[in-house]
Amino acid sequence: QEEERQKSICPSAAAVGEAVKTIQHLMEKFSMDLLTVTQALLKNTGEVETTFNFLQTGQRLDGYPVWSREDDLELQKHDKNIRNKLIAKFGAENVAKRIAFRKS
Amino acid sequence: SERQPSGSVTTYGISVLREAFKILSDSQDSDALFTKLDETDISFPKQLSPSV
Repeated sequence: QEEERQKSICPSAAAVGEAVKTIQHLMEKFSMDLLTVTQALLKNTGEVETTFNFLQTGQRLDGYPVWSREDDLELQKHDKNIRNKLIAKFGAENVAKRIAFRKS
Repeated sequence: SERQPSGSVTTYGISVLREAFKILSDSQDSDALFTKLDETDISFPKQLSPSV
């Protein structure tokens, strides 16, 4: 079971290499440090274009807010009312993407 | 590199971001630092001062 878990979360070297280049590009483009750029990607569900716009303007392209720790914790509760609250805040598509991102 | 079709978005999973961060970070415990970034809220990004 542990082996399966490791396998499921082990990303490909190619994907990691691409991500390294992307992070370096964003750091250079916006003169920001590794921590800021990485956290921006985390809070924008790993979406590069959305993160780019967020770092440039302080806002997401779709107008929704970035994810907070509290939002992520509420996402794990599997409560229908809480889920609906998150959908109202982020949109159904962004909630679905966030669930997939947290498992990725 | 390959261009993506119009309208597509590039997205990295959290495990990919974690591994990329570990490669780029100088921290002794980059894994814990990544977890801390994930578990704290972001403030509006600030540009580094040229004097830093």
